[in-house]
Amino acid sequence: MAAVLVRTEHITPTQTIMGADAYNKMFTLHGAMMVFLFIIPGIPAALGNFVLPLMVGAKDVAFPRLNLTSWYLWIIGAVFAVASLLVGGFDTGWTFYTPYSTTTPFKGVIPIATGAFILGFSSIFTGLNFIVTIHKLRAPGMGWFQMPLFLWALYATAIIQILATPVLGITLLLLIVERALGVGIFDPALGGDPILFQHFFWFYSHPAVYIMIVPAMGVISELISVFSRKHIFSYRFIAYSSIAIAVFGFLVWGHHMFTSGQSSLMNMIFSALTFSVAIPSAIKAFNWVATMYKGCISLKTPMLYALSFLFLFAIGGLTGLFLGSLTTNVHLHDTYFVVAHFHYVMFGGTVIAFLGGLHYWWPKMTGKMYSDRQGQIACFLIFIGFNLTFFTQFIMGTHGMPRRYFKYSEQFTTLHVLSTVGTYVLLVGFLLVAYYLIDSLVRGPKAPSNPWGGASLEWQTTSPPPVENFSQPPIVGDPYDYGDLVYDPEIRGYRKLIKTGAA
Amino acid sequence: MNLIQSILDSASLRFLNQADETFWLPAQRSTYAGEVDALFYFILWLSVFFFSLIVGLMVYFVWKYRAREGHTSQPSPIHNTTLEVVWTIIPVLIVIVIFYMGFTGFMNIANPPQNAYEINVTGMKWKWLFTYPNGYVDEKLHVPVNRPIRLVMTSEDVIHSLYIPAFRMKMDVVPGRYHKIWFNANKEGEYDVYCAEYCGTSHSDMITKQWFMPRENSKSGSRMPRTSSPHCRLMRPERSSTSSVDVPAATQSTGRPTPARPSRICSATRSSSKMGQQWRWMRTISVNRYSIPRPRWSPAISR
Repeated sequence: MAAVLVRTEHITPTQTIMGADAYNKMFTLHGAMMVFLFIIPGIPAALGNFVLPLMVGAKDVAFPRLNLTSWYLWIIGAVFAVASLLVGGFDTGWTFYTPYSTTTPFKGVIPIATGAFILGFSSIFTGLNFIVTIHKLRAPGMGWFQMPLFLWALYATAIIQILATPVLGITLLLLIVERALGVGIFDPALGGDPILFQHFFWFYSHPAVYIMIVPAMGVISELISVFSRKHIFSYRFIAYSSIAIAVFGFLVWGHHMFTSGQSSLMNMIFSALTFSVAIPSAIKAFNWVATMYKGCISLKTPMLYALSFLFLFAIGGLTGLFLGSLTTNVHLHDTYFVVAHFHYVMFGGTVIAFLGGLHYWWPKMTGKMYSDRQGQIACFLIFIGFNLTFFTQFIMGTHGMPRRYFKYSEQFTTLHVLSTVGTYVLLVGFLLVAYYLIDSLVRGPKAPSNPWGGASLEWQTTSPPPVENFSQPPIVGDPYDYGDLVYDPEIRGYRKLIKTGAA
Repeated sequence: MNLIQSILDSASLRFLNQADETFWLPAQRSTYAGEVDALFYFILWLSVFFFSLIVGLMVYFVWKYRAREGHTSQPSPIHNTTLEVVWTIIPVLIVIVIFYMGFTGFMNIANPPQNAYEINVTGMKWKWLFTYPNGYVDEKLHVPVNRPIRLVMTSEDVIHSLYIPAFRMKMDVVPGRYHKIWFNANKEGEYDVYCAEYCGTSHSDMITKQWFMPRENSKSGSRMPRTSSPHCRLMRPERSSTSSVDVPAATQSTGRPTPARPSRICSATRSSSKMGQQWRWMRTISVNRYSIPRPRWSPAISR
């Protein structure tokens, strides 16, 4: 909602509906809320917590109480975020760059930093739980390479969550200490170093980008295979590329700081390392396309989201090349180009994959089917709205429109208006999704156990699953082998082909 | 149409050092802008190629193998190591090229030539102050064309970032540190100078303008008539709001502009002997409308 207000403000070059301070708080609110409260926990916590135990064939995650604690921590973090608004808001941008964040007159900085600190623990607990569950609770017969790729992605994500998030925690704590007690850590007026904060912050926040996108890639690996009725192409390369992204992701934080004044040598090293992350992402994209070869592709709503993901993530990933390369980065850094790139990856990537996953597992979660026709329309609206909103921002960025600008130069008016119109289309799309999903809970037909013909374990149990997930032990097989699943119109879903004696 | 235009522009980049605004990029107004843009277009067309490849194949497969009556999925290999290696190695080679181009270009931007003219920059909420070697301080940046200019920058309060899109130049301005960057403007005009690092309420008002003076006037060795200084002309309050104004010919200017406030003459006499002829006009100009805090450093220190 903040995003819609931000875009509405930008219909005209100067003040439209709010003042400069309100605008600054609004984009900060949008950034901080979306990153810390939704995108980071979105796929792992919302989808992962439900799907992961089912996929490994377990009753629940390894530590159910820790999981519940993680949920309560999320609530407490969210309460702090709301509290920060009540005490005056904050206008630092989601990046909390010092010394601005330690000197801004708005009082919401400490509460939101505390909130993000607590949310960090929520994230760490989730990661811990996933790692233990995947190691210990796989069903008998399921080796590492019989796991669905979504689990590989969640595993890679969990590693990042556990190793990187503590750094954010400490950094935010130091920020709070400096702001509350006046201890000079980051503010040069007190003897601190503002660039140090950027190093600390991005040491977490760059891997955090992979916390957001890697599980999304896992979802896409599932969707493309299931709706193409084809075995995923090159399982091991996709699995290893998830791990490679997690590892390389730790080594590239400096590419957010090419213009911060760090030494040219560091710029060079970080630029080179940054490109190393591009490779595993490219491998995944090629493998997904190869999976569709000679398939039998049905354009159900989740598949439409998966195809949108491929389209948008290709743009998001390729525009990363402009930002990884040093000279073009100097020009494009902190402009709308970065904003657009980020949204193509985080929204076009993560949110679209989240929606795809949500539509894919919705019948399993709720036991109800939604209207596929409405789902396709909403997906189409979101796709169009998204591109209208953010592609225009690439063009503004290359022309030098800096980000976080309340007012802007007249030359950008047309593009800003187009971008805002795109936002409204997006909003309509999202409202439609909310409408038909809620509607399906009330009036939707009962979902079969296996509506899409998935071969991973979660489709062997009923929709929704009973307490402790499986009424009889699941039979582990290849999660991408669809050969023995046939569509049965009577139950409006897939069932296992009963093999006769001769076969 | 714009797309075709940009193809033509990218093709002709090699020959044009001063390309005007295109669909993708603003006008090139510094000596290294052409190199940055060449890399930009290289990545752009590479991206277009790979995007078309991925999405093209995707659309083709979706259409060719769409679920329909009588069609089922066909068996095909689920792994092919040769293919995987090929589509790993090719992107690796490509990114090495991109990295190398970006790196060499960056080393050029990062290392100013020895003979650069040095201007000290102070960023503060929410304006820029430019201190020239003769001690003159102004909120606007005035530089000669075809001469390397080095900016030595620091901030009074929070982090700012000096950004001039026409130059492809940006550098953070950090309190407690001196960051250096250089450029060599290749065409006279008036360009936007932005703050690119979020710095508070009036962040988006932290815009100033930059002017370029023709250098030829000074080469002649004759002192410019005060009244015809292009700078005076541009400093008129009613100056055009367009972002790129050609400096008018000296003879067009008639009469001396009236500053908004009584003039405060800069004390440039002291160093006038060291100054190049082209900077004489500074003594006659005053746009010092604010009380300017004393810079923390003197220009002599940073040299």
